[in-house]
Amino acid sequence: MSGAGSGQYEVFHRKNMTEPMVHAGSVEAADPRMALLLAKETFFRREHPIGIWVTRRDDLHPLAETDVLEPGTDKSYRAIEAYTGIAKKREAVEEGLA
Amino acid sequence: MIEHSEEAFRGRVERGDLIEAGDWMPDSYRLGVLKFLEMHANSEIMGALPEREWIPRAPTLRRKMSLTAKVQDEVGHAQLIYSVAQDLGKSREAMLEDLIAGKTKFHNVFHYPTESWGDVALIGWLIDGAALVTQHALLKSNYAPYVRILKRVCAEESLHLKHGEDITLELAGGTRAQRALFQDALNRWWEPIMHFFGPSYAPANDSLLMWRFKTRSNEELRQEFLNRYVPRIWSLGFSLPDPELREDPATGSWRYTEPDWNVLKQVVTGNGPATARRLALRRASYAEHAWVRATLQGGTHAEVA
Repeated sequence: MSGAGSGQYEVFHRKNMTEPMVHAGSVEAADPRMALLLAKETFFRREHPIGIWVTRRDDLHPLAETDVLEPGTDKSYRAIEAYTGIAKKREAVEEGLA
Repeated sequence: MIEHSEEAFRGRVERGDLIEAGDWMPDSYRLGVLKFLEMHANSEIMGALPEREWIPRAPTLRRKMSLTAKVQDEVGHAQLIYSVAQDLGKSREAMLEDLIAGKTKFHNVFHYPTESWGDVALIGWLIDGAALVTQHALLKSNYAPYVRILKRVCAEESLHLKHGEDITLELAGGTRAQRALFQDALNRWWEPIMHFFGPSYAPANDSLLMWRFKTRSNEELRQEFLNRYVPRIWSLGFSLPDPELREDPATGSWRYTEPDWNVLKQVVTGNGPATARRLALRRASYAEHAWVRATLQGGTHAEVA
């Protein structure tokens, strides 16, 4: 684990302060300062983000078993689509009262 | 280079700048925002309890699952907001310990008992609706880390609103007994809902409004809530326990009986009807789960599964 040193650096940026940081790509650099400079010149010649982060690829810890991200059972009740038709339901109740 | 003075900070605020956690800020901003975020996070974690009580008694398996998912979301919101609050200088542990010691506050509506499935419908539709009105307004706050997580919170609260409205419509279109259940909930919860937005006379000394962390006054938010929900409640054939409640056709604003603000003060300072019981539950679970926290911090990592 180290914050410096040469290698691949992953680049993140955000367009404005209310947006999350988004991955842009990677650069090879000798240290974080150089990685920031290369990131700016490689990815942001035309776009103008308000912030850039770089981090050594070795410091990222990807989840290997991505199948655990799949829901094990039907969890459709967690989605907003579970309640499509609610306006019709409301109309039906209101008509039933009239 | 940004100058480190209250005057320079005030200049940034007046220009409409957004503030980041690492920026220099005067203590009155930092402590005010921290207190607000802590109260919001406390309310999410305490707000999970009134509904949690109804998970075993939910009428169908699907209702049980969707209510469980909602309670899980609320606890998740607490996690998100405690993380943002931590960056302003108070540890999560200190915040949880102050909560269970009764030293810090949570929203008035979570100090009341949930007496029936009608209360679950009302909380899901109207309490979440009231919270969503205030949270939507805070998307325009100038504290950027809070705005970023509020976007996620608001998206999930919108789902909760539908969940609550769906249960409400089932009761509203149901038997006489089901309708009575929701009417009874409205009668008991109306005053706490009016209290929820706070007194209309607060803005003059509201420093968070002055710092543009908050963008709208208590009364503006209450009016928006009344405007959105009262006609819908009435159109379902329910009544509200306030004879003064009506929209003034000339101004478009809602009139209502001024709630007793001493009651709100009593409730949020730890004297609500369910305060002691809920805090005792939170305290007991904090003590019982000490081994879980210790294990998670012990450095032996569990597999993600």
